[in-house]
Amino acid sequence: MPEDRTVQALGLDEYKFGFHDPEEYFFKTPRKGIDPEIVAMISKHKNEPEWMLEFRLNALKSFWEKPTPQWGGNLNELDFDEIYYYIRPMENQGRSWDDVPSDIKNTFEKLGIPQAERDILAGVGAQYESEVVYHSLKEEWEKAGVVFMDMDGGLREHEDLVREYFGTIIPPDDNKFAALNSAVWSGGSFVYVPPGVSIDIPLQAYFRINAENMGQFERTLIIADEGSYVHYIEGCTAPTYTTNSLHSAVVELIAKPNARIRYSTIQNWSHNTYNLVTKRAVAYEDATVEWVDGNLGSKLTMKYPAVYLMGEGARGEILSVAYAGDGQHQDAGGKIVHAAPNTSSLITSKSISKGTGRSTYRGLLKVHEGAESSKSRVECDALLLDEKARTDTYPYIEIEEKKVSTEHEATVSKVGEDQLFYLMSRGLSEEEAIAMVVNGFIEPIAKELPLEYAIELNRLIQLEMEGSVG
Amino acid sequence: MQKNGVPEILKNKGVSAEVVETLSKFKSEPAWLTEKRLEAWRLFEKIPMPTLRDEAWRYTDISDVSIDDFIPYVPSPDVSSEKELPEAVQTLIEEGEENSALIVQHNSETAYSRVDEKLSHKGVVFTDLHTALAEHGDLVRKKLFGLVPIDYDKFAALNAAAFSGGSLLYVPRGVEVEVPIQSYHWLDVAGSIMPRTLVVVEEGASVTYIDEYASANSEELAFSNGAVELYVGQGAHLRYVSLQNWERNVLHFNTIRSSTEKDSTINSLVVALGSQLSRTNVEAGLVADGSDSEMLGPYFADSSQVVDHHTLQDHISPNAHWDLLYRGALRDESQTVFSGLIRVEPGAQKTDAYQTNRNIILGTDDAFAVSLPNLEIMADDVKCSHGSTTGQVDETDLFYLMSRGIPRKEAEKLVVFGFFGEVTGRIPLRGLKEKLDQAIEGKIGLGFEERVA
Repeated sequence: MPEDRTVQALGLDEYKFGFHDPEEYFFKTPRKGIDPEIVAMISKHKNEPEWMLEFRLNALKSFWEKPTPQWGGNLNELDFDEIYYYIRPMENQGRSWDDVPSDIKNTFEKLGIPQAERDILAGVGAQYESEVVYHSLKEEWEKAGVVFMDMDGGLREHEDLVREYFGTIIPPDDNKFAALNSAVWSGGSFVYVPPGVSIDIPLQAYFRINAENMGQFERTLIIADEGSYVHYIEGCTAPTYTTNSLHSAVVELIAKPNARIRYSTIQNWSHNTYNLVTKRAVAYEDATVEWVDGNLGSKLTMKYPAVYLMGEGARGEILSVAYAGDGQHQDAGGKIVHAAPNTSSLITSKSISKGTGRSTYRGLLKVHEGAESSKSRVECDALLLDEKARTDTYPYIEIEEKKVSTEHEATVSKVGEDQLFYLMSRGLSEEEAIAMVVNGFIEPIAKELPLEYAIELNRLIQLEMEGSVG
Repeated sequence: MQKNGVPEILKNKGVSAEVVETLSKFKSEPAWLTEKRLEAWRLFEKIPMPTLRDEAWRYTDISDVSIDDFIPYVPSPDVSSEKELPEAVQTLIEEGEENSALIVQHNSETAYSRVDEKLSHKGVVFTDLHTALAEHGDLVRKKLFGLVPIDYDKFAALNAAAFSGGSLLYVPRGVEVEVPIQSYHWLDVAGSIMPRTLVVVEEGASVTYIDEYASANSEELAFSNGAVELYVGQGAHLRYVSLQNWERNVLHFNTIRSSTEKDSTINSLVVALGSQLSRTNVEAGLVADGSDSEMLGPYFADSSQVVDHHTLQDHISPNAHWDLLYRGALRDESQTVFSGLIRVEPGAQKTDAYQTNRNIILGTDDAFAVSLPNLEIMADDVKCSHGSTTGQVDETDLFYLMSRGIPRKEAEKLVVFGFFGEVTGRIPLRGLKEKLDQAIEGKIGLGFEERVA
């Protein structure tokens, strides 16, 4: 088949970033699997306060109590006993780029990230394995009182703040995977933005998984104090391995009155990774939270960023783009809960399914009694590129208040013959024409991403699209 | 039909294997059906009662519902003319759609039936299921449980095990029945009623069939659990109406499933107005090329009513067209659930499917509207879309009407009427439409004005 030849020629049948460095560990749990002993070991190794150990052990109980979800994607092949729950690669955090070990630098270089963009990307929290090993933070932010460090450091240096908010937005017993993360979390970012401070350049954390059968359980907590603004960017990519690995993060955002948080993610895990993430934000009076969520990689992603609109005038926005290629299932979407008057929300979801890929939009829109004059809109568009591709839409809409306006719309289509005909009559090949239509389809989301991410997104999709006309 | 000497065991509350067997024997049923009923009963016992943990029941709490609270079989007197029917039933018939054939199921039994001679001459069969078993045994055996199988869910299993009364409509090839066929279900005891409707429309035939449910007001709880199977042959046309207008003492469960052959058309209209809890599954599989389907569902919930609709538009074959429109109003402390699914199976190319659910909440903060318009698409050359909105009566609409001198209360009524008009305007049955309009007006008039701010 000509299609297969093209794919092989491009090397697309193998995961693009499927290289890995020799594994060199500073600390690794002595065995696979999870029990109170392992949890205590992780906590002790990190010199954590007693309350955090307790938090972890309670979470472990919830993890064991909760059944594996039977909705969403197929989790039957996921074996919790075949995973190392903690690996720490290097002893110290790198103070500057020069201090970062060379094999880790190599990995970053192959990914083509920070070196070239270092000047633009002001703060780089690069997570290698389970721990943040490199951090740089612009001086003026420090002066302004902005805290941007790995979560473990946050717990050491800002214990009071962490204790006040940690696990309050996503309690450990929220769901099975949040419970697992709460028990074994390691790494992730802690961000605090003081009142009135606005950070113009996005904070970035780039991280990757690098050990076979290794789970990565990072934990991020962002607190934007009154009237502040922060844009946090998380992107990840992982090497290919033959057995399944698990990524299960928890991200909590708190937007205090008048604050604004934008959180952008592009997820490009290798195609054997389970990506099961819980992300939730609360927005108080007149605060705004925006999730920009791109899902390209992984074997199965289950991720539904949520915004709880707790204060009058709060606004939540979720932009979700998913690309499901052969064998992939992107079960993504968003949750908005209106719990205060005059709140507004918008969910925009765009998904593309190709080959045997399956993309699912799963969403909840809830308006509580008393959240009067709330406005909400959900828009889902799905593009199907192959006969065997699949798309689903499962929007849950629950309204308890009369003075509301909620709208949900979804459309499913294939690339239109007339669109192709038009483009091809202008001299484009069919392949180019399809790629152009697809890029146009995701454009509303791509334009919300920082430039380098938008380019990466477009390039990745273009690469995936090549050879798609057989 | 009514017989003397109802076995004692059928007069007691609750269902058991013995009850099922006794009922089957009492109705002189063939052995295959007795076996089927018993098999269904075993399934019913095996399947756990749905709870809020089950996805299909996550908003509707039926933990209080128990079949042990109801008498499984309540006979009714046979009558020889419409005039002997209960007065309320006569009124229903008078106010209903003009009909060419009529069946009245009074409690668990068919009390009266009439078919225009012209129809009989053309070979149209319309009779209660037990008579049909005796006279058209092969047809019934072939089709019964074909679309609502005994293992469909717990309620379908119960219906299969304990049904009585019910009806068969058979329209032979090429016969066009112009005047609708009507079936009334009347309940005036605190027992259970388990009707079963079987409609077989052969190639090129056409017919309109109306199932209407009504009851006498009572303090005591009653239970209705129906199953409806609709077979639409090649090029045939069926319009099916289910008008549920029980009094508030009734718990209503119903599953309506249809299959369509090549180039056929099915229009369904499922109306929910009455009962305290109404759960209806409306499912259709478009199994052959070129079929066309419309699903309409107006519902209006007041006081503490719970109205729950689950719909499935299953596209199995290519080139099918489907349009679904469910519109509901809520007031007081009521709750409505619309859960719909468009499924396009692999290979069902050139599918054209729409699904729209709209809810208006009238003057209350205590109502709860749930809308779940789902899509599962497994073919790429399709056009599918769905929409869902929930809101209150539009202020600009009201302002416009009031600026023309219409008082606010009147204006609100008009807007609600307009809201339902999008559905009722698509029903070509005048008597039914009037009935609906009256019911909607009645519901608005329940004191809604006072509650509007």
